[in-house]
Amino acid sequence: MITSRHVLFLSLLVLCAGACADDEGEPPVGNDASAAAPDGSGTASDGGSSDDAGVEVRTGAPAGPGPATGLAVLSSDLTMVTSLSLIPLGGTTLARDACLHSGTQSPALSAALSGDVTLPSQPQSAGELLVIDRGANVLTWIDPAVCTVRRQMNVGMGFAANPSDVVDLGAGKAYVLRYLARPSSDEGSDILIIDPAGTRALGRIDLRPHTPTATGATILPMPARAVWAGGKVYVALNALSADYKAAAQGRVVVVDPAADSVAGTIDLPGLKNCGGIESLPEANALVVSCGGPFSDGDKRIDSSGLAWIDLAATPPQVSVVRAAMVGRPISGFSVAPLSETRAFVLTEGDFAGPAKDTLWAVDMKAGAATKIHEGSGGFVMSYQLDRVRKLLYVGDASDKDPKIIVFGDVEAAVPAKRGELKSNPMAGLPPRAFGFY
Amino acid sequence: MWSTQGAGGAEDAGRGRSKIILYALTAVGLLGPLPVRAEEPRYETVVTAPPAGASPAREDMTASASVITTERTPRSGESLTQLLSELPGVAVTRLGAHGAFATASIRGSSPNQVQLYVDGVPLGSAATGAVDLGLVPLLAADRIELYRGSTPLAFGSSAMGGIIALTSEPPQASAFGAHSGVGSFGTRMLGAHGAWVGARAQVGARLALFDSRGDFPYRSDNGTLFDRTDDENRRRENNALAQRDAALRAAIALEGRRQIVLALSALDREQGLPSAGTVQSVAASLETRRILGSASYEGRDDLGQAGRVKATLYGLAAEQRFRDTLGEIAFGPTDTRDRSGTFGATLAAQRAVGAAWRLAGMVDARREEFHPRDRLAREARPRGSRSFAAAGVELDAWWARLDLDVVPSLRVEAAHDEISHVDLYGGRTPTAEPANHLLPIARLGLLQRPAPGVRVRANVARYARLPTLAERYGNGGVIVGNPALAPEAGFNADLGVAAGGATVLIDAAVFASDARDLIHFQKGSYHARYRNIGRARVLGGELTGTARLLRFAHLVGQTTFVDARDTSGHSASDGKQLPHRPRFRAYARPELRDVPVSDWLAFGLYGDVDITDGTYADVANLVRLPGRLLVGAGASLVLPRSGLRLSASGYNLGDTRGSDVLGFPLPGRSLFLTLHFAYSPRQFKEPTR
Repeated sequence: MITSRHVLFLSLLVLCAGACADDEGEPPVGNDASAAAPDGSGTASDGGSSDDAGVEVRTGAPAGPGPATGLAVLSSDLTMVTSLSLIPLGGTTLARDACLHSGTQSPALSAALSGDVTLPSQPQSAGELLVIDRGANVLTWIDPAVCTVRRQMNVGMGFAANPSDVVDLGAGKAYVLRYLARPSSDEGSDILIIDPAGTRALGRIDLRPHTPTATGATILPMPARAVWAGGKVYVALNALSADYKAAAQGRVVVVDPAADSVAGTIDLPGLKNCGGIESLPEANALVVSCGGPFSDGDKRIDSSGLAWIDLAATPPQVSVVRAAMVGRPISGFSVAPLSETRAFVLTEGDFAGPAKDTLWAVDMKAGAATKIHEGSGGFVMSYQLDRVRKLLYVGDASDKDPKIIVFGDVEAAVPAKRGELKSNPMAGLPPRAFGFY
Repeated sequence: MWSTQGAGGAEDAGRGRSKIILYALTAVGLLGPLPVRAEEPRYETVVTAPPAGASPAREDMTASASVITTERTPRSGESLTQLLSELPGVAVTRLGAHGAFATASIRGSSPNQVQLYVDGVPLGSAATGAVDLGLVPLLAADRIELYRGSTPLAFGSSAMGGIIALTSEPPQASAFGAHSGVGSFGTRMLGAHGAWVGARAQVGARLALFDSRGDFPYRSDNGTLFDRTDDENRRRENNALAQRDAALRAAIALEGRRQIVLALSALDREQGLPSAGTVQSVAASLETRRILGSASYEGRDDLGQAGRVKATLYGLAAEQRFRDTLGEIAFGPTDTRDRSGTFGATLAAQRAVGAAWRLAGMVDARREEFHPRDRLAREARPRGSRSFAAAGVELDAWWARLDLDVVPSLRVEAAHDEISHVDLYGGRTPTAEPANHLLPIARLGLLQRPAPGVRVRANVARYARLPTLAERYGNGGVIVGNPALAPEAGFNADLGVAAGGATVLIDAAVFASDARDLIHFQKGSYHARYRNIGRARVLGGELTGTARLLRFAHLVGQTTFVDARDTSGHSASDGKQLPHRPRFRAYARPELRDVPVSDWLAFGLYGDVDITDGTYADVANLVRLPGRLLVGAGASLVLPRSGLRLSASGYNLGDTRGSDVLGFPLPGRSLFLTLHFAYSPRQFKEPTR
């Protein structure tokens, strides 16, 4: 019997065929791809084979994330449901709407996706699309060509781990950042080492010994985001207390994937609640954004800003640019550097007030900022920079008119609007997060 | 109603006395479970949309209403949640088994738009809004009235969705008794009641103990819906409940048709709070203590022959302690002890003005205070309060030629809210401005009797709902206040017809509503708040039928269709079905009641079917929770001469698994058994019915 689901599936196959053709020969994208394949060939693999499920199994030393083959966008109500859509590299239209969504399959105890989902900072090595379901503590690997789920893994293992990022190291290994800890336990708020193809845990890296401290409070690492750069994994810690009311100084933990151990830490003086981290391979640098702890109220801006980490220096050199230059705390969830003189950052509006989210271009050397775009409200904006194609995707989660605005020529003082699209025409959910796959 | 006692003499009475000793021992737990009869046990009963010839709703003759009385098939293991779910127009959303958090939607309303009264005391808190039905015991509910889409004038504050009113009745005869029962998932029930009826006073008291492990089995998908290999059978953890509740009711007769009625009830409960089924909590708990009381003067001789005056003073004090020091449920470790108090008075009066007019009026005033305490916070959380007043008038004009009652009513509700603002992390910020609200409420009801046994009714009304203190000022936690919140407002209308008599009664109604400025929860990355961003329209119909056949056979059934749609204009939700509002529900229960086998034995049987259409879990209608077919059955054996009744009830016998809220499994098949004993001196003096 042919059901509507079959029809939808076939339609997606047809759509996919066109989109995949468009993707052929595309160069790698952004800092992620450059890091994985500096020669721009788009091949980050050091050799390997494919298993029966079509998953590339690589062996040998960790080689880092794979090249990007598309841009994924998550649309969500942030409460119950999420829908995943795909945009071709450089595209201003959707390749696929609702590739996977919360109702893709009839729910059992859980839905296919919860309302709290994110995407990894960097693409997966096997060309798969990985969705991190923070609410369900589940990783879901998807074949983006046909929008089918290849496998799933619960990384909570009995507690609400709230996985926040995954770094695919290649060689059959990945790091899962587990934001929260198991209550009354040393487990969690750590890095879980997994075999992404076999969906099994291989071990864990305890981050607590490397967590900054704060007077009068027990600070948990709360690893937020991580990037692979130059053979190391750099993990930005939120470093907050369990009740989120106390914060320690910002810190990046350096993990050696060959030894699966912490190789060092980089402190971010004067900054707190640091969660956005991106690498800039051509500059051999990292950029970290710090939002300042929400519990500081009006003083949050004092510990908010950007950190430029020069990895070429030994030890790495840190330069800090304060959020005061943009007048409001910078979002500690994201940052998009183009060069040392140009990084895109977001200042959050009021959740219950008049100030709106605003996107800025910041010159970290000069300490100057230029307003790029203002959102429709507070806590509605998300963005993704495509450094290769010089495109900036800005999502606006407006209630009535959610959309993605695509800006081109991102090196210009004020980038020009290139196009506009709906992230989820099928359900109308607003865009919340982007990620290359 | 099952009945009674033979024409016994001294011998019977003697046997009765010896049994009393046995039962008394049983009641105190020395001989294990037993007891039953006379006054209905509170954990044993059943619903009914008005059974043929049943008691009509007292407070409003034009409203679409259902009434549940003690004159119903006895069932073991009943709860208010279940009783309401069997009524037309009601959709109940539950998070689990007995005692779990549950709310009711009436005709597509939100739970916040439903007000629940216990003996005239509004249980809905100004602080938090919707009443948790799981926290309302049946102990003192002799009568449950449901008003769909209307608020009778006699109730102090109105509700857009409707009113649920539980009332206890003064005892009619001296009696005492006890009940004891067991059930699935480690459920145990024990209770006692006693009543004394004198020449000018009656006093009744009831006490019940209830505890349950609540460890029902369910199937966990481990969060990986696409991977069945890690699915497993689990038992619900941290779901135990222990409850003690008591009720006292007294009436003192005054000269003429006047009386003073005192009602007092108390609840003491400790329960574990299970989290979503994929990651079970181990320690989160909730303790609830509540005491409510009212003192009423009721007079029927003060305002003429058809006049009626009822003045009620009431009070409600509650304390809830929520302990989640591991942060299993809340946003971080939490240990709160929130106290609230409500004191108020309602005066309702009506009198006939000539032969064709009736004039009614109501005034209500109350003060609610909310004293939250966060035991882990750096600073004390600030208090909140609401001062509320309402006044209304209603005219019933009877047009004799058409036998038509025209009932317009107007009421004004005013509220003054005060609270200090608390930020997301418990820090004090400048005091928020007090808020004043003035809500005009208007309604027109029509009732016409075109033929004997046929009643046609119609209503149109404008209602409003005040924002709760939590909605307006936040909760000092994740929810950020929104001082600009305005009251919700909307129009309701319905048209219904009831036809039939003592044997068969059919009631049908169609209804519609349009609600604006609906207060919706909006979640951000780390915060949430409420905003006036919703709009909804509801269309629907209800059909209720009751029949009595061959004296002992009864059939009750209802079906409800509700098309509740979002009309907010929002991209994700506009035009879509509101979450947790099933479009179709049906319930039917054939039963045999009180079938006498001999002078000393009677029995009852019932079976029921509950069909609920699938509902959406989300505003975008992406996740559809599957519909359910629940089948139940039960039987009761009555020994009228001894006052014993044994009731056995099975729920969800098909072991259907499902959930009302994603992630929170509901129990499957469950069985309950109750033995109830009651003794009344009258029992051995009256002839068998």
